[in-house]
Amino acid sequence: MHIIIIGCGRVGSQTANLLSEAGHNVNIIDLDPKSFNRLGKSFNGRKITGFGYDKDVLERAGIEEADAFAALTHGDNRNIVAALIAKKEYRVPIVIARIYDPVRAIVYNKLSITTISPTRWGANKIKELICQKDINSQLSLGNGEVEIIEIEVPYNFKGLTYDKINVPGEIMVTAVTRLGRAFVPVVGSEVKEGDIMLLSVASESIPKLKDFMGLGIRRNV
Amino acid sequence: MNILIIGAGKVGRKLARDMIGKGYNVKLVDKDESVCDKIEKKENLEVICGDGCDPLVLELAGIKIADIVAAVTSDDEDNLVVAQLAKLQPNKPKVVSIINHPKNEWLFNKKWGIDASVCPTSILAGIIEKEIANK
Repeated sequence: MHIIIIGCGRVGSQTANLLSEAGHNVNIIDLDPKSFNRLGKSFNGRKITGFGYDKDVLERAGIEEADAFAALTHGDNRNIVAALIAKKEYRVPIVIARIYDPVRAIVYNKLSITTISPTRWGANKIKELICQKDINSQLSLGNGEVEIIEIEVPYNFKGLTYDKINVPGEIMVTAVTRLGRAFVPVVGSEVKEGDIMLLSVASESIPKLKDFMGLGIRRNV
Repeated sequence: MNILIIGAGKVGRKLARDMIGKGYNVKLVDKDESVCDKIEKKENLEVICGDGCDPLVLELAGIKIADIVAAVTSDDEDNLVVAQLAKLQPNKPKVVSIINHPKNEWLFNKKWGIDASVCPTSILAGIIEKEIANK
């Protein structure tokens, strides 16, 4: 894909590196040529020094043939104007703008631009980590029917064996990490304090898992 | 007639005074607190201190009942954003704007929600060129 990114800050440079590594034709624009130092050595895209929404700069980056455009500068307004130019003036199929202000991010979604609000995303993630600190999905399989969850064994599970935690078709302990070493538990493997389990869980059984991990009521030792 | 002016610089303040003189309802918005304080102390203008590109600030300033929105900040990005937000309102106010940098002229049109705009630099450049040609 022919991709244009404006803003070579932390997010912009990371995104450019990832897309370049994946074999895409990346064109990154920034006002400050020094910012290109953030790009990795393996970056083989084009670096363009200039103002992110100047007509000539955008055209030098090949906006007329672009498949995707991401506006990732530090300014919300700059990002939204640049994204709107890509959408309205050049009809770029995929347009993404980073907007710090969550209220604006919602409003701008109405203008048919995909907005990413790191503020909202970060706040949600932090809330999730605080409120459900023991349920942390590592991987979602298929369309989310099965989740791979890493979890520290609750204190009151001590002395139980791992096979007792399994619920056929719903919950299965796939691996255990103890003091930095991982193993696959067998029938009779004992639970030790501080063990970290990797579980395969059917997504509809997550409430059940939370229920009995949280208080250990169902399988109290 | 309700007129909402975004940007309380020289242009915004002069516009506000003239429109009040004509008997219209005028509100000014500016993000610079010291500018807002000065206006409130010295002049009899209603000013809201806040970022005119923030949908909540615009709502507070009464964009939903505005007939005309004048985007006259010294930043073209801000003026364009104000126009987008104005046209998202159900009342679809008319938007007039100032263009600070001539290179941005191509964006100030109906497609961008701007009904009328002026670029003082371009006008002056035109006048100068005419003067030179007449010599």
